[in-house]
Amino acid sequence: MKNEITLQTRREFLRRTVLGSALSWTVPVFLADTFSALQAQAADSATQTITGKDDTILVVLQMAGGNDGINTVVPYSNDFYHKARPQIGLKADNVLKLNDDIGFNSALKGFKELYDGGELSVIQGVGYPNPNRSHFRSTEIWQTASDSDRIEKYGWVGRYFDNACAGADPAVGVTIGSQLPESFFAKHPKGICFSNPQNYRFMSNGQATEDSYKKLNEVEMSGDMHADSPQDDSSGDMLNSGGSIGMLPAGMPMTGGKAVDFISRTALDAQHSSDEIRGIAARVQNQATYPGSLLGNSLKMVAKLIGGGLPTRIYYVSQGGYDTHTNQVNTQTRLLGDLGDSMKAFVEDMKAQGNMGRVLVMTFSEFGRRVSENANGGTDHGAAAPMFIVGNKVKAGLLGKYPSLAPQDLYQGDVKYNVDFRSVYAGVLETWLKTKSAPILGKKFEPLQVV
Amino acid sequence: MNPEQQQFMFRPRIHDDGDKTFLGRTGNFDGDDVIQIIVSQPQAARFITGKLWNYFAGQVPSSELNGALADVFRANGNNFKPFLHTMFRSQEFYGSDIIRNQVKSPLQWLIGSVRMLECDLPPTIVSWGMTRQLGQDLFAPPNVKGWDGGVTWITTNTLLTRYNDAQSLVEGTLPQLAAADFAKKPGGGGGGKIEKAMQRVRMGGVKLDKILTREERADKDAMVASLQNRLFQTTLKKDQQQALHDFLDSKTKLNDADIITAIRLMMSTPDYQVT
Repeated sequence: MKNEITLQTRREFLRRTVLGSALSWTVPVFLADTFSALQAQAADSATQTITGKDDTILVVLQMAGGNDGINTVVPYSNDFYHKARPQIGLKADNVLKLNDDIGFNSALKGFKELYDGGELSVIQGVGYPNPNRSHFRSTEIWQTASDSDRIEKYGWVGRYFDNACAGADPAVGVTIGSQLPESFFAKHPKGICFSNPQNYRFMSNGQATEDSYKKLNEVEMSGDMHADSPQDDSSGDMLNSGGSIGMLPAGMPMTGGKAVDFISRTALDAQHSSDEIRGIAARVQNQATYPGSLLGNSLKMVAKLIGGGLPTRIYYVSQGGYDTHTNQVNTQTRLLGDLGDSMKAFVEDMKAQGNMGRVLVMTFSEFGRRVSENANGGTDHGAAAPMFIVGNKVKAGLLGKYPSLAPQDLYQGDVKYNVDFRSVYAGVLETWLKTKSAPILGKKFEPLQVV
Repeated sequence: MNPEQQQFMFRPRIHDDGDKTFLGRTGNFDGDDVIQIIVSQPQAARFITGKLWNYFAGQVPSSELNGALADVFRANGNNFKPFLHTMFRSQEFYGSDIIRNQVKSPLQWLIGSVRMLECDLPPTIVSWGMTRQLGQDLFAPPNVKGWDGGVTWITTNTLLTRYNDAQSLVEGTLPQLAAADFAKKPGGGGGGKIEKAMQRVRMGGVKLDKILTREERADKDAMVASLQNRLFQTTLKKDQQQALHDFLDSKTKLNDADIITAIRLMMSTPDYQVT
């Protein structure tokens, strides 16, 4: 049986197969995989299969470099705090007070307004057991939601896609930036990324070139199934071959699918999403004024894409520069100011669009910093720190407990976490994205009720 | 260690002449002995040959293969040259899961392309900008682990950038888009100097008479066959070949610019991204 399928868009194709059209042998492996995953999904009614334009949206905001949580949410009346930080400690008149003990860094005016409006929750003392002070390892732990002594291959967002979004539009995950974050790594990778919508296209010198590019990239045959492909000719001895290295059973196990299949799918995703995204970028107007920073521009773009109706569940943006070993006060003031103002503008934009009820923003940083300042007016790598969640349905206010700064309560000079970040992920997955968190996080974490 | 000569220095006054225990062996060892003990561990040969296989074949070897590779290495007295000779000539190295199943890194993509096209490497500033935009900022890996490599080189963003950089390479046009983008520093700082430097850059582009014979240029079939062999060392899928022919047929008179666009189109395929 040979069933010719004209692929107009991958989305249409998937929609049709979902409706039950026969799967022919000409269908490439990776699509067949997606199809069988879809069937498995259909059996489990607890998970959603296809994204819609009314679904909830999560924006993950990475504060890269390890933000000093203690000078972000400041325990301004705590003696231990001022003792540990004689130079960079913030005094009572230099914070935006939340209560008699705690206040925001004064650069976070945007956050204070959101907090007062009941649209921001501060989750205090978030971390994980046996914290790691290496940027890349701790980032990896946060991105993969792994235990600190385990290496996970896939990211937590990727596992969400694998578990709950089979068959979804490729734009189900969007990263603003040129590289995919590790949290998006997946068994069946999804998601698109771009930094500048103007550049996010195939540059063509004419219609014939454009047409040809599309045809060259819409061929979806897997190398495994392609009869003419020389690599299938396993019987032919390579002229260059000096014989077997030996001790090997014929036909080594494949470590995964063919690389070219993955690239083919990415090429299709790129082709379809680039038209859509440039269209939205040109059509949708922002309705708030953002800072001209990288983060401001990223959130501005996210707002456009949401307004344009992209069926995205998870957006990923990041802000760098938090590795404040020296001269922390100036750097952090600039960064937090940018963070608060960008967030405030984004919220205004969402409200003007009427989409505020659908959007939740969650921040994270790979670690907080040590309680004691160093000799260079900065702080070194530490452990637990606060996370922020923004939305109009959040449990606003202070969640969790501020970690004790008393020397006897510290572990090697760091505050101890009292909320595992995976409980926050679990809460977001269960209460906001409405999916079971245990298959995604590898085990059951008590979901923190964030909304 | 004396790094310049890759040798241990002997300092009699601070030398420890006593017995030392290292990896379960005890004796009056010096630095060379310690290295000898390390490389005589069975695991050392596995580690080194596994790394080499992964580097050249693009995959972590199976346990059986890694064992076989390690045996070859040890049988050759831990010498690299005979080992690599055997490895490159082995059937396994040309297995169907190895050949054309390794994603080119941005550096492999750029240098491989200029070699295959027999053109010049773009000026440093452009080469740097291209590889950086493609996700490999040379000498600045994202972390101490280095680049993840493999399929992680490919995102919707970097794939389109590869396709567009191919245009710059073959046409010898300046990647203006790249210029606009990589001039920006993280944090939003400007890069006026880089933009100015970019304006002075001249790119070579591909010279067709270097890579195609007169006969090949006169015959579309021969031309496509020759270019496929050059760029892929195999044939493209039938539909793709058809798409190329359709493109060439759409031109009433085939001039150099059209052939150059055809080369760019061949590089703008998933198939060109693997080796």
